[in-house]
Amino acid sequence: MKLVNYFLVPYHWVMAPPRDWWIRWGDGSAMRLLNWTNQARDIVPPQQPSRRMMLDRDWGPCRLRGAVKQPLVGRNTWMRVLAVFSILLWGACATFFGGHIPPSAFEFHDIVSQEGIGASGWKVAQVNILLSRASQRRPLYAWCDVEIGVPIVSGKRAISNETAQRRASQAADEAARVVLLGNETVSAIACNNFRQGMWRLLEMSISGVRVTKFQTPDIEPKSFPDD
Amino acid sequence: MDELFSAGALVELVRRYYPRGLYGDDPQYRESKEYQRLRDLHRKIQEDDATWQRFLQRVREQIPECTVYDMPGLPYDPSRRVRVYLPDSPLPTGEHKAVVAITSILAPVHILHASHEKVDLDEELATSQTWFPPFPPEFQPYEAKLDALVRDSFGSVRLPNDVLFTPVQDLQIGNYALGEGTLIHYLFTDNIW
Repeated sequence: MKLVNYFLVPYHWVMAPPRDWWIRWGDGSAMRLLNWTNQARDIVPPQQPSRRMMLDRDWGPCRLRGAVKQPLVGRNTWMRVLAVFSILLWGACATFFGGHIPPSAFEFHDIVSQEGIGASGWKVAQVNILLSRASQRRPLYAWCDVEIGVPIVSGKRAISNETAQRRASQAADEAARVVLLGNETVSAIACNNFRQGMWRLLEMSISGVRVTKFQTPDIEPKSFPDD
Repeated sequence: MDELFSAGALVELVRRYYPRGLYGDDPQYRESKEYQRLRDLHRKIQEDDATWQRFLQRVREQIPECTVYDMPGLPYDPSRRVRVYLPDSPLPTGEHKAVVAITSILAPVHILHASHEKVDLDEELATSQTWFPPFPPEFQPYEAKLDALVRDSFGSVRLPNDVLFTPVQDLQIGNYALGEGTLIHYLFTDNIW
């Protein structure tokens, strides 16, 4: 199974590593990961160089002085990684959203015929959709069972499978984005909010559409992401 | 109105069919005796379709100028509904005006509402507006005819707005949050359009 398709990675997840994370180099010197740029006491060099020397060493490409040994190969790379890491930390409020559910995930099955006088018919698609948010403070991992029901004909207007699939896909993407950018961590409520969001979006294009938990028996549901 | 159809009595009635304090996603919801009771009743009503079909036939005969759309017996709602499109509704596009009758399977009660949809096929957009009594004047002649047909066919009582919109605490239905639904949702449908 793929890891996730809908996911949100708030940066605060990586903002709070344990306070005892240290970077330790081969010469025995060490640097605490947090506050490393402005707290000399966190930096423990083997031969007690000056603060100035430490800062030079931290940032500079091999600008070492005094008694400090040459850094090991790759220290530069570490510094660059740490610099990028720090920039990310300072931009801590940023969040990313990813994921797209394809229209083909919504496979519609006719369950009520439109034959007969005034019969509108009915078709449904059932999909298990994973909503996942990687976050320390507000984690979410919820499989939501979603049934989309649409009339085959609404007011003499035929709703094609392609239209229903495309609209369902668009609504799912937008509803997932809203739920995952929110704070809900309880799966039952998150799924409820997701279905409600999908329904509100779909009803703007398909009158009478229903978005519910699985209700119709004997339908083989699809999963997103696929098992 | 009969005490049987007061808001208090109907709230007590719907509590027999929806479990308290549970979301539909809670595994205990579908295992509850209330949910099982609702499913059993729903299944029983769907098996006996004759009365409903006779009612639809009467609607077509007595309001022949309208287009009658039967919303099929689906598992979503504890009710059945018919949409009666007014003669000046150009289908499939444009503005659709309809009077909608919904009968509950939980009690001999029904509602009517007016619906005005605007459909744009090019943009694939549909917007709808709904009225509960009083209806706009153009809907009222059809409202009276349909209400009379429902009463005569099912012997049911039409519920007033104040009863329909009575909040029901501790229950959850459809996509509404716990305690957010009102009697109309539990007796008829959470999808008014």
